[in-house]
Amino acid sequence: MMHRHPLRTAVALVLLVSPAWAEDWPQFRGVNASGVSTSHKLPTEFSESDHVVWQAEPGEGIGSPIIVNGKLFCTAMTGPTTFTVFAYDAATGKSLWKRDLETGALPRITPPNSHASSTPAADAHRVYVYFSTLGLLAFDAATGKDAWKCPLAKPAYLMDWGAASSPIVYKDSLLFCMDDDLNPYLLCLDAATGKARWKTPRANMLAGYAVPVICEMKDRTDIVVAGTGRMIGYDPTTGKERWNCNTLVRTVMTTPVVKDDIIYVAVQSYGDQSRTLKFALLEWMDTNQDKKLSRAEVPKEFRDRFEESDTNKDGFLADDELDTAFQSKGNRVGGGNIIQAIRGGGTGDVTKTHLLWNVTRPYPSNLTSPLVSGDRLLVVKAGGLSTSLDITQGKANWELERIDNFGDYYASPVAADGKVFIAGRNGFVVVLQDSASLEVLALNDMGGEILATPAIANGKLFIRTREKLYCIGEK
Amino acid sequence: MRCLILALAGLWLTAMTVTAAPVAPTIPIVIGPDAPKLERFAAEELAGQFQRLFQARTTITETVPAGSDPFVLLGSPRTNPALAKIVGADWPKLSDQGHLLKSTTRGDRVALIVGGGSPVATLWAVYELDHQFGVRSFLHGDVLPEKPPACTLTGFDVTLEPRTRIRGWQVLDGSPLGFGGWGLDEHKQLLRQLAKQKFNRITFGVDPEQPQLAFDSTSFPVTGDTPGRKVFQGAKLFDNPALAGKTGDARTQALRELMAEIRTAAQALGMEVGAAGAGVETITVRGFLPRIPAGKAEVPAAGFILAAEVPGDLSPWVDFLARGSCDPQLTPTAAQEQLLTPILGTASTERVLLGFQKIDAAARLIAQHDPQFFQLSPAFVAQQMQSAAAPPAWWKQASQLYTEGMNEMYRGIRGTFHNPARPTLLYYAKQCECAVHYFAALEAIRLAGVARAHGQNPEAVLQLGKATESVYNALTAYGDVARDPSDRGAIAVLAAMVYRPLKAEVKALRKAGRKE
Repeated sequence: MMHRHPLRTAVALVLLVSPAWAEDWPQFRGVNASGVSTSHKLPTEFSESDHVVWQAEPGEGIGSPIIVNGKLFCTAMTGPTTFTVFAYDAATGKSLWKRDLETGALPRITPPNSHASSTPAADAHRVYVYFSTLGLLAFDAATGKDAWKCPLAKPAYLMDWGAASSPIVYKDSLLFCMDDDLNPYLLCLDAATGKARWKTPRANMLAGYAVPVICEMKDRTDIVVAGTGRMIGYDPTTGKERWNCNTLVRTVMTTPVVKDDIIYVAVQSYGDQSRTLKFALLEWMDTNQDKKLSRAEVPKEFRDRFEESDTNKDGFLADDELDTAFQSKGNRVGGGNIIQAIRGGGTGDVTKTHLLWNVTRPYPSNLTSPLVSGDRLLVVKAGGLSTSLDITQGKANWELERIDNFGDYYASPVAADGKVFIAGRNGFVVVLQDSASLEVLALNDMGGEILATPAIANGKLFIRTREKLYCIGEK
Repeated sequence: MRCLILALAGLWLTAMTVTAAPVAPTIPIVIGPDAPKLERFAAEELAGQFQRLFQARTTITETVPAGSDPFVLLGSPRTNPALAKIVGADWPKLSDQGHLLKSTTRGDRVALIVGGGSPVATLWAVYELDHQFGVRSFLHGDVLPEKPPACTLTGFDVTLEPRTRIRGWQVLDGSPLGFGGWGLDEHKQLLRQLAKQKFNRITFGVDPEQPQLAFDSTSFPVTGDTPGRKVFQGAKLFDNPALAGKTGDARTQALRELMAEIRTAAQALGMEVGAAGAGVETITVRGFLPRIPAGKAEVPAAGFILAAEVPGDLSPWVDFLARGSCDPQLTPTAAQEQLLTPILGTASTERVLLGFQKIDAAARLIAQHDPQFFQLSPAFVAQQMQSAAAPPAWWKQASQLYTEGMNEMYRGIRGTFHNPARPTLLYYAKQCECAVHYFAALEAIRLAGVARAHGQNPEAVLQLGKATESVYNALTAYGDVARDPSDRGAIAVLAAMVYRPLKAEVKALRKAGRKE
C-alpha cells in the first residue's frame, strides 16, 4: 500500500484548483485602469539583458500588452498594411497563436503615434481589439479564431493625431469610447456576440483618448468617461447620462483613476482658459495665415462640417464661424492644468456638489495618466518632472521634482510591490519607492523607445518597446 | 444563339476595354555602338528615371527601333551615329560642359535628343530632363513632383552652358560634423546626388599623405544616456564605418582604401578628383544649427569648392549654386521657389520660403555676432559658466527666428501627408526645434554662471538642470530626423561636449551644496 504524505496531497490539491495566475492585467493599465497590481517580488534593477525571463519581437506598435489567465495579448503592425494580434504564454513567452489582418489603406497619423496604438482588452473567453480601419474585433482567447467583428466608422482628427482609443470589458459588455473630432460616442456591445446594446453620442467632445472607468458605489455603478470640458457618468445598462462635472479642459488624453467612489483625474491641455480650439486651428491649419480657413485647409473628412459652418457662404471659416465650427457652442473650454478629485454618483450637473478638490498648478502631463497608490496621487510629465499629492486634500508631498530621466513620457506610471515603474520614451524605466517622499531606486535601460504603459501580472513586469516585448522578473 | 454569344462577347470585350489598366509607355533609348562607359551609364540612369516617373518600359539599343514609339537619342554626333544622322548640321556648338534637351521629329515620329559636349555633359543632360519633369534632387535623395508629369518627349528645347566651370565638394574630412563619419556607401549616395546637381569635382578634406592625422579624435561614445541615441541603432561608438574597430596601421590602411574607393566612385560619375587650382573659391560652412545661406547672391564665376559641416539642410543652397552656375541671373529666392513648387505646390512653398527666410536671418545673426559660436570643446560648458556674463540679447532674437522658422515649416507640412517632400520639411522643422532648445540651454548655462558667481548655488543648480534638459530636448528633436552620418556626428559631439559635462557640473554643484 502506498503512503501519501498529507501535506503534499494538500499542496497538490491547492495547486490544482488555484488559478495559474494570481491576478490579471485585463486592459489598459490593468484592472479598472488603476495601474496598480498586487504582484510581489518584482526586480528593482533590470535591463534589456538583465532579469529578462523571456522576450519577443512582435513588431512595431505602442499598444500595451495585457495578461488574462496566463495568456499575454498584444498587437503590432507586421507589414505596411498588416495588423497582427499575438497571444503568448505569459510565463514562458511561447507563441500560442497570431492573427494577421489586412487593414486596407491607412489613415493619416502623426508621429510618434502608431497604427497599432490601441491596447486590447480580454476576459476568460475572448480578446478584443480595436483598429481604425477595421473597428472592434473579438477572437477566441484560446485559439485565436474569429468570434465576431463590429465594423465602425473611421475616426477623424483635425490635427491628424490618429486613433489610439482602447476598449474595456465590464461584466458581459465591451465598452468603447471613441472621442474623435467628427462623431464622438460611447458604445456598448454584448461581449459574446458583438451586438450593439447601446450607443450614446458624445457630441460636445473634441478628440480625446480617455478610457472608460467603472465607479462602484453603494447603490449603483457608473461608467465614467473624461472628455472635453467634463467628466460624465453613464448608466451601464442604458448608456444614458446620469451626471456631469464640468471642470475639465479642452483636450483630454489621460484616463482617470477610481479609488473607492472617488474619481481622480489629471489633465494638461495647451494654453490657458481662453485658448479654445479656434486658436489651435488658426495657428496650425491656417497655412497661408490669413486668419481664416479655406476649404483646402480643412481635412477632407470635415468638409460637410465646413459647409454647415460657413454661414455666410463665402468659402471660408472666420471669426464667429470658427468659434463653433468644430468645437461645440455649449462646451467651448480652453486649456490649462488640472488635478481633481470628484466624488462619483449624483444626478445632473454635479459641478458644484461633487468636486472635492482641484489643483491648477502645472503638475500634470497631457499624455500620462495619474497613479493613485495608497493615499498618494503621482503624476509625471515631460522632463521627468514628478509631483505627488495627498489624495485627501490635494496637498503636495513633493512638487515638480525630477526623477533623473529626461525626455518625453507617453507611458503612464504603474505600481506593485512597493515600487512605482515609470517608462520614458527614451527607453529608460525609472523605479521609485512607492512612498510619500521621492526616492529613485533605479534607472533601467530597455534599449528601445517606450510609449506603451507597462503591464504587471503574477510577479512579472511586461514592457513593450516599439518593436519588442520583454517579460521582466526573477527567474 | 450565335448573335447572343457575339453580343455577350462584345459586352465582355467592352468591359475589358473599360476596366483595363493604362498601358505603360515604351521608350527606346538609342546610344552609339561605341558609346563611352559614361554614356552607357547615362542611358541606364535615363531608363531608371522613365521607369520611376512613368512606369515606362525602356530598352537601351544601338539602332533606332522600328515602330512609332517616341524615342530618345543619347550622346553627341561624335558618339552616336543615329543622332548625327538626325541632327545633321543643326548640332549647336557646345563646350565640353554644354548639354541640351531638344525635341525633334523623324518623319512623323517624335524623338528627344539628350546630349552634351562630352559624356559627362550628356549625363548632366539626363539629370536635367528629370529636373524638367519636376523631380528635385536633394542631397539626401530625390523628391518626386506633387503632381505626376505627363509622359511626353515633345516640347523640349533647353541648352545649358555652365559659366562656373568648377563646381566641387570637399569629402572625407576628419570632422564628425563633416564627413569624418561617412563610409563608402554614404559617400557614393552623396556623390550620385551631387552628380545630379552637375557637380564635377571632389577634393579630400585630409592630407592625402597622412590622412590618419585628421582621424585622431573622430569617435565618440554613444551608449546609455545619450539623447537621440536611437539614431545609432545600438552602436556603442560613433565612428566611420570603414574604420570601426581598427587602430594604428590598420586604421590608416582602411582610410587609404576608403579614399581610393571614393575616388573611383567620383570618377565613374565623370568627376575630377583633387585640388582645383588658383582662383577657385573654397566656401566653408560650419555649424550644426540650420542654415539656408542666401548671403552669396552670386555663384563664384571662377568656380567653388564647398566644404560643409552637417550638409543636410544645405540642399536649397546647393541647388542655387548648381542652377546658378548656368544662369547668372538666378537669385537664391527664385531658385528656392523653383526647387519647391513642383514638389510642394504653391501654398506650402509660400510658407516654406518664409521659413527659409527666418532660418537664414537666424544664421546671419550667429555669424555676425559670434563666428566662433559652433566651436565646441570639452571645456565649453565650463567656459560659458566662467564668463559669468548674462546671455546676450541676440540669443533671444535668434531663438525667436528659429521658432518662427519652425512654425512656418509645420504650416508648410500641413496637407502634405502623402507628399514625398514631407520628410524634408520635417527635417527643417525639427532642426529649428533643436536650435530653440539649444539657445535655451545656452541661456540657462549663462544664468547658472551668473548665479554661481554670486554664491547662489541653489539657483545655479536649478539653471544647470534646465540647461541639461534643454540640451537633451535639442538632441532628441535632432535625433527624430537625423539621416546622415554628419547628423549623427553632431549628436554624438554635442552629447560629449555639452550634455555630459552639464550633468557632471550639476552633480558637482549639488555635492558642493550639500557640503555647505
